[in-house]
Amino acid sequence: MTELLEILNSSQNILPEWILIIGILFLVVIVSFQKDGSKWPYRFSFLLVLSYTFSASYYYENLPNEGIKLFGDLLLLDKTSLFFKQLVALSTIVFLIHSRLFKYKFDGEIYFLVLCILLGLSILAMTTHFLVIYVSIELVSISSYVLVATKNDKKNFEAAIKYLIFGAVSSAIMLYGISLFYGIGHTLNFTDSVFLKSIATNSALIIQIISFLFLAGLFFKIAAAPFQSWVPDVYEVTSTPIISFLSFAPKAVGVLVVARVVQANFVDLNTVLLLIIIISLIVGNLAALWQTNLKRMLGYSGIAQAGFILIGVLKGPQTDFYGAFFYILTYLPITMGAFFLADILKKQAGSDEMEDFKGIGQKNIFLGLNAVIIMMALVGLPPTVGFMAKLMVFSSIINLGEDMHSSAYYGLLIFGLLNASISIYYYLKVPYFMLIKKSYNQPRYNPDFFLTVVLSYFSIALVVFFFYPDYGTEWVRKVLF
Amino acid sequence: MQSGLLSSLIILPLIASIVILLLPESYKGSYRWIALIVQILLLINTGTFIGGFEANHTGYQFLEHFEWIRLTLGKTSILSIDYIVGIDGLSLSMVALSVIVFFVANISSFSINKKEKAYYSLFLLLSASVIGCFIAVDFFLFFIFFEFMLLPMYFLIGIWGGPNKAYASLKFIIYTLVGSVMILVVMIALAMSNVDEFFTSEYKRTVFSFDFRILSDQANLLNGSLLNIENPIKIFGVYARDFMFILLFIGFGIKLPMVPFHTWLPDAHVEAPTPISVILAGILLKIGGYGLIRIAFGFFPDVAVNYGLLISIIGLISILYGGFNALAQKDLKKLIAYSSISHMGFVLLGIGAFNVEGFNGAIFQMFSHGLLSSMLFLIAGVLYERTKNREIQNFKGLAKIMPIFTVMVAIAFFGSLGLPSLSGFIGEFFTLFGSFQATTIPKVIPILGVLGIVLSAIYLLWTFQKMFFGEFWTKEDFKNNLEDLNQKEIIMLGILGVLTLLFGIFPNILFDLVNHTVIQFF
Repeated sequence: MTELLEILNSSQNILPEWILIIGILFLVVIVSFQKDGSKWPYRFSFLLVLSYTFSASYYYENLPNEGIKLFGDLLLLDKTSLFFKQLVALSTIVFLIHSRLFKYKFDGEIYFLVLCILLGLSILAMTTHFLVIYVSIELVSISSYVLVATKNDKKNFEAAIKYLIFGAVSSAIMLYGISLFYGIGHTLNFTDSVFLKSIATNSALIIQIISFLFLAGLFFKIAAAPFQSWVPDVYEVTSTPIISFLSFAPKAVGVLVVARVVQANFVDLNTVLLLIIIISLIVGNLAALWQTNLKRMLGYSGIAQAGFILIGVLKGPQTDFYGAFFYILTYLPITMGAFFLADILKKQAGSDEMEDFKGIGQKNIFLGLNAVIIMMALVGLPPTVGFMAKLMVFSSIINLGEDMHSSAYYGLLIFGLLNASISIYYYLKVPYFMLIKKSYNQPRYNPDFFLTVVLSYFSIALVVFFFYPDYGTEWVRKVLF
Repeated sequence: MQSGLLSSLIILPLIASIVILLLPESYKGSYRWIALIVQILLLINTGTFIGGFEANHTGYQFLEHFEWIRLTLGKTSILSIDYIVGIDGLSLSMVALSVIVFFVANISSFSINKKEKAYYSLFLLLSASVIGCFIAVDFFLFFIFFEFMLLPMYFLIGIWGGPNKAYASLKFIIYTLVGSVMILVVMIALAMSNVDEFFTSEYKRTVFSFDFRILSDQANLLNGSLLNIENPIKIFGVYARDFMFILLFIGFGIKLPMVPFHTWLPDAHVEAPTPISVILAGILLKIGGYGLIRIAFGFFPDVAVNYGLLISIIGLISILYGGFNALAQKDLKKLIAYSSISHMGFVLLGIGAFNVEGFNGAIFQMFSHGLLSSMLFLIAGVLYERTKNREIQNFKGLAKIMPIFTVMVAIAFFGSLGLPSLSGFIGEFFTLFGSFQATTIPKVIPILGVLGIVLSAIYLLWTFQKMFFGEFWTKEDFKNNLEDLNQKEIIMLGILGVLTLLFGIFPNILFDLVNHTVIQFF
């Protein structure tokens, strides 16, 4: 009886997910009864995500700081998870608006899959339970594979198969890690005191290795090296709004789960994370240098950015993941703005090749200006919020170096910053071709003024939040563990 | 007192830049005049500052202070970033130099007739960020201006530059960005170690500050923090404070530029259009010297003492290396670029001496080099504009047909090689004097430094003789294009020439301004 009450009680607290689940079922019905090209799936999804967002914000007020446990200890609803749920929902809204503005004719199934990812991430954001983590990651992954494969193109199939194989391997590794943890820890929740006690009796090295196995699935979602090889192909062939969503949402929540593992403090992950960060920065930055395709370049840049975000997750005595969470908050407008820009450029130039952007910015200086701002934010130059994000992350390393008395962190600091300055080479290619190179051809497309105005919302946000970061920082401060 | 007058030095060009961006293309002719009017206003404003400046008053004057960002860092601390601007003798002299250089560069820009709208708005943006750099009294604010300068420069070289502009502008931006991330590291570390006592007691949370006045007072260093003087933490085998000082030294050294981080400079100069070369040599390099004095020496005086010798040696290497390279150049602009490296080496020599004479000399040398190198690049521009050629060997006997030009060139060349009564002499004299005075530096360094003056005499006189004396002769058919200076050029070169003479004869005008500020460092 008490269990039944517990379930009932818990169910009240996941109202947003219920809305989403029921809505998704409805969506299936709508999709099957509507003609192809109907606008109703889009409209319905939009409504659904909005109601999800509002119902999620409703819980902020009455939540205790340590959060509440639901369904035994399967789920943990705290402010941090609400914050990430809202971010993911926000990125879904941006996805929907993006696809609408560019008149993408998505089938209803696409919206269904995106909402499934939203559901998966939403559950992933509020759990410390290995099995729930695994199940929700699978929900996200499988939906993503299908999303990538939906376009009827040979290249798409290739990318989707790559994505599937790498994904399957990393989730198998992850499952292996989980089973080892279960064997050692006797329970599946890594915040459980039983788990922590049993883990403590084992040698640290073994736990580190197992943790690395477990984290493989998450690093795959975050697109951190060495689990990154699917990124460029998938980024190149997938429709821009979809990849814009995929470049942000799974990455954000993946980092949250890594942060939760680090916070649980049963294993010293810093060495593993340091390696992952350094490899990600090297692979992402060096490969991005040679790209000629904007979307591929953004893919590699996403790998490098994952490295920067993970810096904020390193554990020290004072760590509160402030830098990482703030970085993720700013990463939403930065990366999604960049993909929005990529879509405008594709529309005008006819391709994603940066060579073809020649002269576009000269004909439309306003668009050129927006491109400069967005790329500056990706590099992390002032006056854009990208600089603030890097500042936070790097100041967290300085704190860390101070507390841990280790030169390695200062090495990482300088290495990271040098990487940031190398990155200017490939990010500036976009404004370089747009503004500096002359175009040989006549304009192929009339500058789309309306889309540029929408794009400038992103870039205005990036500049305004540089001058007034308090809104963002106060929000993040409230949701720290 | 918050008159807003000092901020107008930043805000006026910013507003003008936006106005130019928004003006329709049919007002094309007015862009240059808007920019020029703004530069004249800045000149007048700076004049009032010089007039109202109390030279024997230490500390910053005309302060304007607004709260800007209170960044909550985690749960226990706040990062306080303020908009503070103010000037002391050091920054006033640099602001004065930058308004002069920008004014001259603006006139020189009249010959730009490609995409004027973008050019003048970027030009004004650059002007705002350069001056902002000099008057910022908050490290964060300084850094923003410092970084922000890169983009206008990137586009100004990249769009209006010569044939190899893409390479040069990219090299410029990557070198400088590497330098500035090093400064960023120090900025974060400094801020995380310095506490604003007043606000800490007010907010009941640790308030870290970027305020120059707080950073320069070591009493504010938080106990046990990274940069605390007693802190035994070593980073890669050197003490944390030493490590940070070295980072700053490299960061600003790239900007200065010192050997071996100088290779971006000749490339950037050769490709940049004349007015941008003028700004680059005249004022952008000075930010490196300014940063070294204000930040590296101002905030780490205890460390800087130990590095005087190293800095002097690098300064000496820059002087000699730049000089010898200049000897070998065939391109006039490249020769001037290398002579810039050589002359900025004197600044390092003066700073490395770490005494009042050395610092005074370094500041004077920066000021004088600002005037002289602007002149030199304008001179190269005059030839290039007429003939599209800068090879020294292609010209001979120019004095015959361009007499006024020859006079100007003579002033600039003799000023640069350190003829007494021109400003170059004073700067070089005082830096060498300071270096001789310094007990930590072996006398051989300033003695070899004197060799730099000899070198500059050799390459400048050689060039002067080859190009201006003898029978008139030029390669190909430049003859018809070679006319003497027009009014515009006479104004530009004349202003700079007169100033060079003025500061050469009355160096006290500058020394009186900066002396009290410099004494504060010791």
